[in-house]
Amino acid sequence: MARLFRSIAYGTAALACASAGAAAQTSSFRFEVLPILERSGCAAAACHGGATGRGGFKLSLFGSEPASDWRAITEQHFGRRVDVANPEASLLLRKATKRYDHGGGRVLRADESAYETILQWIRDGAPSDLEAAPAIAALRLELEGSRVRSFVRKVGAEDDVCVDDFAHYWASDPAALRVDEDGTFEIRAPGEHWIYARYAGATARVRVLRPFTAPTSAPGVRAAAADASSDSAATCAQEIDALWRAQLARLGLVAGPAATRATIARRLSIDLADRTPTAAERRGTQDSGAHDLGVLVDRLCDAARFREVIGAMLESTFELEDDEGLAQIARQTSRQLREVLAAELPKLRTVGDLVRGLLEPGPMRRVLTRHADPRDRAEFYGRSLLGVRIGCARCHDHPSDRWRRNEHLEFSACFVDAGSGSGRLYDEDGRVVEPRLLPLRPGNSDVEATVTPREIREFTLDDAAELAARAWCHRVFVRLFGRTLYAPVDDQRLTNPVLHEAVLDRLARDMIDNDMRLDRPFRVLARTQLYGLASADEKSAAIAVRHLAARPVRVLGPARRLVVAAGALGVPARPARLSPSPVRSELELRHGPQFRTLLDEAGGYVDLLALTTQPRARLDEIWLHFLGRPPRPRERELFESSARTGDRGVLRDLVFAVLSSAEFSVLR
Amino acid sequence: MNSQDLSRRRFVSQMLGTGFGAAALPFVDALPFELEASKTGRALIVVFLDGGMSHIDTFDGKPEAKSDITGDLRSRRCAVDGVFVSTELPRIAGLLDRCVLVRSLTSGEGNHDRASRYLLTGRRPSAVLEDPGLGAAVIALERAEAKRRHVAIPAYVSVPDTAVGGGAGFLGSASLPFETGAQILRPGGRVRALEVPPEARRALGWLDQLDALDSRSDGASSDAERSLAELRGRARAMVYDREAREAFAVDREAPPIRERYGRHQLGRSCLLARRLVERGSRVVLVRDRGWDMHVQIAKRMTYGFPGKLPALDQAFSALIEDLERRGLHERTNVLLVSEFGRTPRVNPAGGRDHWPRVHCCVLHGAGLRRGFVLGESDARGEEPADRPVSPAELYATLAKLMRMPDDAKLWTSDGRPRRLVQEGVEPLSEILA
Repeated sequence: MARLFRSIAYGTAALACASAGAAAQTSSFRFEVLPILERSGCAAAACHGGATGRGGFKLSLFGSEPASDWRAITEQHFGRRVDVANPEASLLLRKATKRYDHGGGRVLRADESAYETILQWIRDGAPSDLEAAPAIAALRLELEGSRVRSFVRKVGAEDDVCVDDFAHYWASDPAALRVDEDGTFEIRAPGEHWIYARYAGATARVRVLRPFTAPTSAPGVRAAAADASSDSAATCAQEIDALWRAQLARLGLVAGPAATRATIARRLSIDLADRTPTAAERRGTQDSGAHDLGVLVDRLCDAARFREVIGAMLESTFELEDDEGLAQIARQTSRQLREVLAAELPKLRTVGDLVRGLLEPGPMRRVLTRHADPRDRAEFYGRSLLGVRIGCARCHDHPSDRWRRNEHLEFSACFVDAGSGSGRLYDEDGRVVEPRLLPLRPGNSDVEATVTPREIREFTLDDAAELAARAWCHRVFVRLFGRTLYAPVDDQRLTNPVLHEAVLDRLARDMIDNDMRLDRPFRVLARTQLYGLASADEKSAAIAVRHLAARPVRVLGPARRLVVAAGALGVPARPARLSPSPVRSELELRHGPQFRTLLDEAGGYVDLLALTTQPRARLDEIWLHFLGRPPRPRERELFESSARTGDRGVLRDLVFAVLSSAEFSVLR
Repeated sequence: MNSQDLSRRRFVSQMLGTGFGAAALPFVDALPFELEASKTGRALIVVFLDGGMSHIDTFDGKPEAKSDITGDLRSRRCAVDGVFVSTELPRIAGLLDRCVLVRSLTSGEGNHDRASRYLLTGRRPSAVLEDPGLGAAVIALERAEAKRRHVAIPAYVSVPDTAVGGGAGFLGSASLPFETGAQILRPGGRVRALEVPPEARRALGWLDQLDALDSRSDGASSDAERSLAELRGRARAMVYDREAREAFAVDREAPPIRERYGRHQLGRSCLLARRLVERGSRVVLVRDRGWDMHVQIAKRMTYGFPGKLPALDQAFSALIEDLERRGLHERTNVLLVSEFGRTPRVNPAGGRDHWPRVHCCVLHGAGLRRGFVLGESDARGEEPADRPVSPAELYATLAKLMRMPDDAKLWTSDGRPRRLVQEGVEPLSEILA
């Protein structure tokens, strides 16, 4: 499946090829003239490729619609843009060379080959070679020393053709990697970088890497500690660690030290259960011989609170958060749908369950159908379940985003629901659009009169399984590591490279092999040594943190802090409306009723503290339970006498202070 | 004894007055900020009419155009030659000879969010990088240059909340504005989050002690923890500092002044903005919603308790006069603006739709010419007829007025520089004094 995704992302689908030109002409409009215009920036959004073009001359974005571009150049503006009788007087060339006033300045020189190519095309009568053209099968990049070269293979051809003179190159990070028009490049900063190339509607990429220090050989993977559960999750975790360490070795980086078991236990409890570790868990993890972290992972993932963690992730995945920027009615709908989701949560174990819930009759279907327009539904489905943004193709073809306008429209037609009034979809010519699933692999491109929910589900779990698994695994990664491997999280595409791609691929493959279970990536990732790294200060270890050789310290946001506090107190979390303004939300938590309400509900904890714990040990219990450490001498000096009284009000205030402290919010 | 010692003494005495007593004193030693706000630096109040103010129905009237353009509202000459202002804005019309009016603002962004972002960040929205609003950028720059450490009065405030584009963008949450919330805009309203519940005083005192001990412990401290400590320090300072608390107490203003601003939300917002600027806030973004009038625009502009235009007239003119009376105009600028204008022609529903090709804004205050009109729209209010002005130029002008260096740079989270003002964009030199 990983190979499939790559072949789609880096190969055929990314090419999204249009028809190729006939090779008979001296100059090809499709394969030479248009790429020159694109490479010169004429078809960029800031120039003639913008929504309304520039100066009355409109090209498609990045030359994605060659037919309309040919018409724009040869027919519009009374045909003045090309002059076959006097080719050098063509407006196209006079403007490009700035012999005639041109807002975009000079983009061609008369003495360069690109100019000669366009001139020759006009001399030949500015023909269109779009009809009987072979399609492009693949665009491939090769590195030759400090130069990148481009080759294409057309359908039916056996040989690759070099297109160095026409491909347009750019770098993933221009500050770290410079790529010139002729393909020569210079790596200016260490790290992993990508060179992209676009040619005739196709996009490809190649990786270049400069290590931070001399590359090291990947250390052998340390055998994982005996895992009492001994299932395949531990094995997969070891494989992921091997891939991660291999990438670090390529980069010349060394993984940082592991965190203490107590730190990992607190991390696991908060990540997987939104609570602090229990006394038994703390004791268990102190003794490495008696308790394995893998057992703790499984125990936490089997507990009821883990379902709530999944529920919170699904709220985010399905874009149901309480957003103050939304209109009142939209916020109300989101609230209702969060309740629906909570009720349906026990049934949602796999990606297949999610798809069924969204598509088949039932209360959860409203999560999808709240979007009345089928195009909005298709885009929502793409973002939330497949982790891809197809929305750009609503307005224009975009080679880097793979999807073409017709594909967007056809996929949207799969979500037409006459019963709910979303109606039919029509194309620009007024014809009804027939539904078709996204062309992720050859063979699924048949136009259907109808596409049933079952077919969409099968498509999601088969053709699109890799996308869907990667999307969910990445969301789990973000939850467990507090950072992304690529951003935005719902934007998998060729030109959005993934940090440690092999790690994500392996995790996704494991999820597919395990029936697309939502809990599976948690069980695997939480077992890795990568997860168990000690956290480091981003300032002093910025490179290590950026490349996953160390973990950043995480700070729980106010809303999450409330959820974890509720978990630590053993009471249900209540949704709280906190301001997005950080200072204000800090004040709201400090002075508002949220923590006090939790403490009221958790009276049992305070009672237990007052009644059953030894007076001298009360302070220890509070500090260990909420902060994972005993009180420091100064803290003991300040608070012990108060705690010793056993007064419930005093104990309640102490718990409030600890829960509200900065330290409680910090996840190392 | 230096001024910082004095301010700490004042702060401690105030804090003792809050009922926290000596329990919280250790926290004072760990204060990561200065307590006195600078009351001499430049300040900016942006009155943002969210939704799109009709330029033709406000400051760019076209009395000689056909009725489908003039609509049901009337305009008349004002104190500045050649300018026709709505008859619903008589007080502002009388003040325009002390302001700058730009009538050729043009953005090309017809979507609310995108247009709002362009206007408030000075850059067209990008899919890969979210730029910060000017307020966030200003406080980030000043923090980076250590020109200003944290003070109790928040440097950047949104009233009642932040318009799209006014946020921190790539600068991160530390640069987000303090949002007052809508409750303060009701008569008798307060920022509840600033009020300490009496029953929580002991617990809060202990909390402050705990945090103070934590911040002084020798454990490794990360960027994230330092940011958190800073954030909490700012929150505490707002609670403990009487002047900060009073800045938000709009109802303590003398009744005649409150009446002058108006009892409506926009009036209270503008009054609050003046109080904040007076006490040291650098940028206040007043967001007045409800200007997206696709239907019955004349009615929606004028009817209500009060209607949009009468409220704007009262509040904005009161703000200008109040700033001038207090001398605050010598260090404060006010900008009245929307994300775009509205269609010159009234639509069949009696409303006007989005129109980004041309709209207008009003500026006032320090460093600006008085009674100056920049640019004009064509006879039908459809296009700039002279001196088109982009939001990027307006942004550059505001940055200049705020005395930001020409080459000021911000840094993205992954360490890339980004100029505060877009490359190649110059301030509107014509309007600068």
